[in-house]
Amino acid sequence: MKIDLEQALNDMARSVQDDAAADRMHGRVRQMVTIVRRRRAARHTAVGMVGVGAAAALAFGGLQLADVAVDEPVPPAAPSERIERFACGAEVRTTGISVTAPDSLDHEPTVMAGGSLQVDFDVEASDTFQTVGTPTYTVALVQDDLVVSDPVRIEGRAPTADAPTLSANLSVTACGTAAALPRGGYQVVVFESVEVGEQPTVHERLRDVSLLNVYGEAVPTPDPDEDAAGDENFSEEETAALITLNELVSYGNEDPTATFPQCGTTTDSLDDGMPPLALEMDLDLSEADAEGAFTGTVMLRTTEGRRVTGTANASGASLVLLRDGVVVGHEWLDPWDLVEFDLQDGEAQELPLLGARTLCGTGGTAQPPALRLPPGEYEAMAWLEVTVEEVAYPGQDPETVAGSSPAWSSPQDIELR
Amino acid sequence: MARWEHSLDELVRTRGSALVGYAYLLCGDRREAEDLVQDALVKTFTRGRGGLEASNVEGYVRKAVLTTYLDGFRRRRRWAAVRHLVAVPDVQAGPEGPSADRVDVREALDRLSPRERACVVLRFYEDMTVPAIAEELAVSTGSVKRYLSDGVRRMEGLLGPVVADEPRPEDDPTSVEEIDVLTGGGER
Repeated sequence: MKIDLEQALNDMARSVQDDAAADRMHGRVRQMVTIVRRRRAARHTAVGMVGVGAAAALAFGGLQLADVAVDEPVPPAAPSERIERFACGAEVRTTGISVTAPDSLDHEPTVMAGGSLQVDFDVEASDTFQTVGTPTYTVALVQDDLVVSDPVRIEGRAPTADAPTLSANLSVTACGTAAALPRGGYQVVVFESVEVGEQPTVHERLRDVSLLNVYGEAVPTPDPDEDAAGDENFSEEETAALITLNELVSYGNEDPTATFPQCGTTTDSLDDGMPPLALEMDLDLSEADAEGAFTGTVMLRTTEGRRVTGTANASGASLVLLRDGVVVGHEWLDPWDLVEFDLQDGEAQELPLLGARTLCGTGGTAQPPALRLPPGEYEAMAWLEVTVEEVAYPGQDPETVAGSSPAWSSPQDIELR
Repeated sequence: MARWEHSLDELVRTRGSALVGYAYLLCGDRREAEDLVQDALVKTFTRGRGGLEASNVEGYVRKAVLTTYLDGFRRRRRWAAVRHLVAVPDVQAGPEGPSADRVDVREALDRLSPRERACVVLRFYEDMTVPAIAEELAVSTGSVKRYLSDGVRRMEGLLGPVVADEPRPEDDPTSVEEIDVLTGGGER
């Protein structure tokens, strides 16, 4: 008896369809999306400002938000004691489970150190909470789980239908002083204290957390006409931070069709079958010129004993630089001309290899201006745009393929000094 | 409620089970299938793109399921890092018990490489043409033909002859005969 493959696959798929599973999944996904969206909002904030060094700290702070939450019953306390709990310098835990009112906070994403920040929060977004009396809200700036500036408390005020939003003005100054807070990434947190039950117990819950970047000086605007001098606006440390940021931004890439070696992609998307062509890279890092441009050669060969005909970019192969498996450096070479090839098994065609020590997505018409990749460990690959026309396995007739079939080399560990 | 939340709600409510079924065909494990769909939903709904309507977003989610499956290592690494934050007790057994045919087909699928399996599922479950599969997987049509040919042959090694679909001219107008052989049509 023959098995109907289409029917068998349909039956198999239906065998696991379960609405309860979908419900479970829904809650998890919703929570994850909320967390990731908040991270991304923070990262975009960082992109919009030029405090690049601070951007890494901000992005890192965003990652920490994966563990946010507080819902701890604490012994009943006098109002003054409750206030002390979130006083300047107090340790507040913002890691644990989840916030109770995500996305209810609203404030400017960046603020000048020493300035003030208006924080609005929507109290309608709160979940159901059987309370006795009205809640008390504490709005504070937190860094490393410590309250770092004088918090603002809103006590005994319940929002009304006409005014569902409460506001607080935070001073971006160090505790008890007028001294500006240092630049960097902070968290704006709103705690809610409520009394619950007939024998009132005070519950303190973290309603929401968002990220704030404090900058310490006027932000220079990059001049697109500036050439090499523009690079000097960024230290190597700052560029390294931007790479971190770049990797994070690229994770949830806006473009779902992004393919290797576009900035931020990984080698995971490469065909793990055996492509008809492969490259061998010969790169001498010591030959980088003063502008950080690399040159070398690649040898284009066929794989699996095949004979392959087609055309390749006459400009040559481009160098792709990766850090932790993510593309951080790659320049497209304009295929202004094509070179034809007809390679048998064992034959090779030599082509130039070109690359630059530049963070992808910078330089050219992009902003910011070209950033030099900082010293460190990288992986290097050669990448060549090829259009394959015919492929023939040994002893077989050629098969017309006529399609893009890029060739690349194995990654090679390199160190940029 | 934000727009993406409405869209997510509707998609999971109306198509969540079907998405898990599709993912299950790809990975062969019920729990992993849920993870695949979850990861795909997270990827899709965190992109913040406009037009996230349930009616048009399913295609993105399916593509993300596929790439996430093929991208298994990174998925496991990423999800493992956060799973403890949102995990609930293990899933229960499905409402239906396994049939012998299904077990056989599942075992046969398990013998395939990830890309062979993906090609078989896209061809015979998603009803896609060879060029469409090639585009989806970002490989050449020749590679797809090879994956399909090898995959079906390997499944037949366990299941015996399988009834596959009719060859379609749109697969490759220049080599209809070859498709016929690849999909088992040559045996009929």
